[in-house]
Amino acid sequence: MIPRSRNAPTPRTRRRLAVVVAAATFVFAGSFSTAQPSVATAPSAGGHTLARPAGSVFLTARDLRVVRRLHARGMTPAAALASIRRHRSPVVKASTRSTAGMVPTPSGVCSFWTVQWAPDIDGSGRRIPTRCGDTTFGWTKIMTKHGVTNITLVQRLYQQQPTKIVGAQLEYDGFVVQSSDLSVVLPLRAVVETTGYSLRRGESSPDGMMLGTNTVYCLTGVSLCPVWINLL
Amino acid sequence: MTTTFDPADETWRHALSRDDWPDLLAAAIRSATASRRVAAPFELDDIAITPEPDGTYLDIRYRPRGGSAVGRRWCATDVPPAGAPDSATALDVARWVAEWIVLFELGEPLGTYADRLVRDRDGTGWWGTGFPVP
Repeated sequence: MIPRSRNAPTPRTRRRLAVVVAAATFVFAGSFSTAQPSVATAPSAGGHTLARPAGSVFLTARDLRVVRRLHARGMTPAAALASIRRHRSPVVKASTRSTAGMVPTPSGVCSFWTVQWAPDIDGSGRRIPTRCGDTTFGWTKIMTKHGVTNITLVQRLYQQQPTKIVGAQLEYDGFVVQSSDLSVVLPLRAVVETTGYSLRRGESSPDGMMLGTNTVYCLTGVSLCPVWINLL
Repeated sequence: MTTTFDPADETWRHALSRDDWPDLLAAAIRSATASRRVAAPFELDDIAITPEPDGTYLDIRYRPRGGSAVGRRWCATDVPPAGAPDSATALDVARWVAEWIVLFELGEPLGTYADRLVRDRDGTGWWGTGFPVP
């Protein structure tokens, strides 16, 4: 048996050292790991920059509470979001939705009353059309002014009951979170006009439905929705 | 006399043709600003009524929270793109138009418009009727 030097570590100390070195290596490697979600910065009109993740997820207020609770209990963001996805109804992809009602004008630009895709049914059973509109109303405004270009966001907002009803206007609130970082949460709101008459145009909606989606915008912190919210 | 609004008649046009209509609308905007919660809070600085050869305009100067001065020019006889007031008394029409302006014009995030504002000598960035963004 080889006599052990007085300063040589005991097997127990060696095990402890190994654990410490392994933990330090893990932390160090994690800082530079390519396995981390790719993060880029997307400037917004307000001068803020927000991390751009590989994707984003839409959540209702209730979903957000559940996800945060699961995450606080030690679940990873991906696992917490997956548990929400499993329990909610799917949306029909815009590309496969009915285009009934879409009547392009000869110039190729849709008219004010044109219904984009099929009307959505909200959590209370209301049929809500999203019309082509113009720069002050509807899908044209939503895309050109607020930077919301993914109709799925609008569909998701309507999969619940209105958050608020003010006269003839309905508000639907929701949140978009980065799928890799639950701390980045962007509140989103849709406003719906339930009347079917436009005083400016002097006519009622030709299809008999309400005017529908007035606008969709991001709340608080940014004046323009960042690009990543459309990466659903 | 209170008249129930009927889209078929044009009683609302009488409201817009009144001489005091711009003042009525300006007062309604001030009132709505004080009473309505909006998505992007702002401070209302001033509303100037400006007669031009092609009509009368409301030049609304406001300051979005945390931002610089912004101006919104609104043609006094313009009406919102969607909906209609419940009745056509001048006051009701003014309230309805003012609510639209406060909720969806002044109290909404500027979005891409922020990059296309036209600056005046005071540094106020303008948008609205007659400017690149409607």
